[in-house]
Amino acid sequence: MKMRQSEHDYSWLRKIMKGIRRVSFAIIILWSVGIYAESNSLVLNEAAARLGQSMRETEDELIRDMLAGTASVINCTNGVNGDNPTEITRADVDNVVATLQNNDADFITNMIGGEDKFGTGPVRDAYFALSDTNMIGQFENVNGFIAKAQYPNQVGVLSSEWGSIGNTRIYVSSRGSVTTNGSLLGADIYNVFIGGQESYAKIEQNGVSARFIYHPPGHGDDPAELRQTAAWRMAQVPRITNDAWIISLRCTLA
Amino acid sequence: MSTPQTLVATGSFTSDGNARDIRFSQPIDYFVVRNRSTWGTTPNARVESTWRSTYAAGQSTGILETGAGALNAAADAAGGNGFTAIDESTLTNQALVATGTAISQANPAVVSDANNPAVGDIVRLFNTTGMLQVGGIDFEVTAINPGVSYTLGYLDSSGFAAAATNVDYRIVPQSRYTERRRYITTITAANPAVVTTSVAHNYSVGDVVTIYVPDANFGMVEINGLQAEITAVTASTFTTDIDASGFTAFAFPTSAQAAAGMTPAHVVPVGEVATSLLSPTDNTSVFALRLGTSVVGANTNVMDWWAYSGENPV
Repeated sequence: MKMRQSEHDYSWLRKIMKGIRRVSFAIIILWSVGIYAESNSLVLNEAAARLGQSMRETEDELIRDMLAGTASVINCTNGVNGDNPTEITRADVDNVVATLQNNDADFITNMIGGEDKFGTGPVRDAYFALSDTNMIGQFENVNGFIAKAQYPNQVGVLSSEWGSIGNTRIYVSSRGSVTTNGSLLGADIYNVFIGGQESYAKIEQNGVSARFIYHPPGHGDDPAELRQTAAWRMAQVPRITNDAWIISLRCTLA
Repeated sequence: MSTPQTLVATGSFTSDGNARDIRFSQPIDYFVVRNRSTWGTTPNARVESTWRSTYAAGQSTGILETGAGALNAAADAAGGNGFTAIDESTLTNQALVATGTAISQANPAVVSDANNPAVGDIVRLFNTTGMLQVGGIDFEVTAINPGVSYTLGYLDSSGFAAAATNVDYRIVPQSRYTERRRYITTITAANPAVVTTSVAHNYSVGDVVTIYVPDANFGMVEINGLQAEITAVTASTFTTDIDASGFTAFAFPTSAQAAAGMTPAHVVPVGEVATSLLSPTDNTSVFALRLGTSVVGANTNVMDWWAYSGENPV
């Protein structure tokens, strides 16, 4: 580990995080008391915050990859970009909604009724649609898109929500699912997971549920009490519980 | 400033002279391989090679024993035949190979291409002029004729209207989860129905799958959404408990229909009779180090290796 320039310089920590966030089920951070004699609590707080973020992101990515690998698919076919799948259109979204309705999938969110506010409109009962941030512009071009800011009220609206199309409410993440070079013409395919209630779940494994683990100096092979560690660990099984209730709508960009 | 490193694993193998992968349960940062057979025997050969996580693919450093006990530095530059780290949790597609000239109308289909993938590779096809119905779909390579062609063993294109006159491909890594969604290339209209997938499916007898044929251009729409228990398997086929003898015959869409848009026929694993909630979510990703021909030793050489974790000193 390199010598630090400042007690508030956490660049080393970020470096380690970048290097190890690909590990699926356990991440550890180690630092030396000698270096951080005056700032251990700050380092621990920073490490704990970043480890917490890392654990939840990893959890989300594992679920994302499970959905990408095992959900049934419907290609967007109503666009005009000449690829297969095409860019997303309202007809493609309605096709998925109709399929889920035919399969008796329950909506996740309730209708938001209209209110007496300029520029707003009611939002339908909806399935969740989980997608990548690169799809934002595509969604906004779909007929009937309602931006989050145009909802009659913001009760229960999450920060990751971008808007709604028909009977879907759209949530975006920079870690959304992308099948690289997957289309007929070799373009990236964006997987929009549209699902109803109880369509998938994560099952925590007995005895190894998510844990934050801190070992103070002197723990283990550390006779001079110079090293301390913080880590997280988890073991879980993400799983589609009813494959008829979640569909990966595959799109390319316009 | 010293940097603590931990020995992750150690072992040995007898080389066959070909590149080989060594797998680990976690990422490693430092690796040493030593040739036990040639060490100290003045073989005029690489006797030790090292790798650091900062190295580019194919890079290595090492020691060359050149004779009379003389030791010299040896190295492979980036892109050479040294070490290549493999992290299957961040797999990326390989570069586009755009030299294919045809896909035959045959069973199995054969792709004419001077640049072959390897047997067992999964290739995703693009720009399949004249045979667009296979574009964007992953196929397994089952045989090659080096420098001439490769065979898509699980694709019967004999009934297609025309051969493809161009084809590009990328090799697509696929090992994160065993048992996953697979594309279907044919289903027999019989009792029981037998399904062929475009790549080895890895399903087992007793698995429960749902078959999706959502596009009428594939013919057998009667089977869309039906769940089936698998009663027998081969590498690329599985037998179901579905009686499809009265169903419409399965057929790939035409190239023109594919150009107008289609959703491929596919199958997803949804459970198992014997071991519920196990294999469809089994993440088999590994960290590995590929030892190239510069560092793996000659045929019959016994190689000892040590793998360490911990940040490399700067």
